[in-house]
Amino acid sequence: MNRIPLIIDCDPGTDDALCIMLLGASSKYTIKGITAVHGNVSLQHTAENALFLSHYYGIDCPVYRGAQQAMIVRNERAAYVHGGNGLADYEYSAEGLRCAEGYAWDFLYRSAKEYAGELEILACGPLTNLAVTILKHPDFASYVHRLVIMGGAAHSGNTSPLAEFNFQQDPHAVQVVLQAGFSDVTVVDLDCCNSAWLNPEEQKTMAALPAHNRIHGLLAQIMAHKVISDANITRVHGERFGRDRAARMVVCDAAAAAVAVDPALAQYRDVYMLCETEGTQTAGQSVIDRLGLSGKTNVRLAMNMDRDRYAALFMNSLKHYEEA
Amino acid sequence: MKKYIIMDVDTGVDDSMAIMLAAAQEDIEILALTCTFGNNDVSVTTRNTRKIAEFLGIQAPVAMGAVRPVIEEPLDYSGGLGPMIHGMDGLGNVGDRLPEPTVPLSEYCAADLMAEAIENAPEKVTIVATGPLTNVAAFLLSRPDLINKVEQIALMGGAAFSGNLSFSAEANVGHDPEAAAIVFSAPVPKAVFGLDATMGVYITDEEREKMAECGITGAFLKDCLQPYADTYRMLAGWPGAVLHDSLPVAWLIDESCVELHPAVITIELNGRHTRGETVCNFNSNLLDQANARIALSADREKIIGMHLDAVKKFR
Repeated sequence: MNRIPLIIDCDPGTDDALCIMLLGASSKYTIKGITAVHGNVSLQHTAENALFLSHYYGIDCPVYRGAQQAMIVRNERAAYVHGGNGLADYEYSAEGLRCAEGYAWDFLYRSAKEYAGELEILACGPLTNLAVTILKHPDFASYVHRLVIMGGAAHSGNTSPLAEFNFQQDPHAVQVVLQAGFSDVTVVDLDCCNSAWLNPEEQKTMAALPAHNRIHGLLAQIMAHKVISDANITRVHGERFGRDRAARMVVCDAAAAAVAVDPALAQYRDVYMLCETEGTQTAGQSVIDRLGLSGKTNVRLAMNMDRDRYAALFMNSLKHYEEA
Repeated sequence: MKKYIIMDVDTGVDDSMAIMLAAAQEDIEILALTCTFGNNDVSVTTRNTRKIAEFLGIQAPVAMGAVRPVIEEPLDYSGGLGPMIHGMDGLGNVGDRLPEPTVPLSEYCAADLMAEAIENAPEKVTIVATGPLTNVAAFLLSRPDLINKVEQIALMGGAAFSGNLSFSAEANVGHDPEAAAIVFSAPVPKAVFGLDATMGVYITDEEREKMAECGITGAFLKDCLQPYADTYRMLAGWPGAVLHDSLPVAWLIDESCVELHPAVITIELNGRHTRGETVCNFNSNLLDQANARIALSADREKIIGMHLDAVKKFR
């Protein structure tokens, strides 16, 4: 089967790192490029992390730098979750690795035209890069086959009571993307991600991959850092609905990647979605027309993932990196 | 000293006058014309800009830009004030007197043509913007590396004291407040020509007649301005057609025709009644934070005189 061209637009980020891991292991896609955006940490870190990760996973693709900041709003980063460098403070050398010349949006537009009707994009950071592409090129959306977005929250957010981090980082960009006329947009929101977790057994395996698995070092660091990260999240946001973070490891961006790779993992509902750009309490909230009042739909909202099937896909992906 | 400019326009009757005024100046070089929605649909404003550019013998490339505002819903041009002022065709209902343009449309999008012109310019470039600021915002977001090659943004838009789209919002800013917010937060000097200054710069019927006597260019522009003059007279009792878009160009030609006041200008994105307002803070204690200078009045006679001189340079 022909592999589908894919661009990953991301802000690595520990969950982005696991997302790219999963996609790098997939035989469904050929990764044409990674476009880095500000988000979990600064663009300087996310771009360097993306460069390192593509090299580390053996993904042969260019990495482009995108937006350094949101279109209009300025929000706090999430180093308390992802570590100072965004990659669980994993120490690596990016010597000799360089980002491709040019900007993320120009690469995105060029690729969309080159692979018109085929290109898929997985966006798992703030949507600024996509929004800039759309503002420059109103026809961009018409070339993209499918866009999978990790962002938003149907019921409750993580960075505010209502807003999820990626959407809250750049609500205007989200609204630009939702209005752009993409023919196939799947939104994997926080509620959906929370339905797919990795259990303690699986986490133990991740933390102690065999030495002949060439990504064991990074995975061990991410799992070690998870203890600090969980404590920080609880300190900043408090306990939520008594969710036991130790028992259930939710890797949002990897959940979105899994939905892209295997759409049958989730259930869906076609809805009309907006993003609140202004509200004093609600900025960054994904607003869903639940009653169908608009008579329109613009996204396919993923929900209720099959946890076991997701976990199997995730754990299998890790094996892809074992050396013979 | 020669000034290099890019004109971002939504042609538009007063845009046509501004383009004419700039094209007549020997010490101003128009490097590019980029088009946005605004007075009409972007396909219409782009065709109009190309027609006017060819009519005036302007060699600069023309690119099509934004089809819609960043967040606001696209505008409807089938009726309302825009078509009433600018004519259904955006050129006072006389646009069909000009031949269809023959020079090809630039293959670049507006933001890329701006970037290309700025990269290749021998000196820093002034962006003159006379429509909604969507293209300028797209340029600023997409080419942060070129921001220091922008001399300044001279724009028609906003109002310190009273709007026209709503009580508080002026049309160019009000049609795309988010784009304006992006532009006003960019680290580039800004000269702002809002309604406070532009409303006083009208061209009387007699002055339009004088313009028509100068040749076919003046004659066309005179007729082009007819619905504009009629609408301003009918709706506001105004003594002539207001040449809003000419002010940034007039200021580039002769700084003395307006007085600029430093201010901290932010764009209201939220208010129920004030969305799209250019909030101008003239507090002298904040002058070190001023991000723009705004004109509050203008010398009508001088500016209209410039147009009458300029039109003589054409057929």
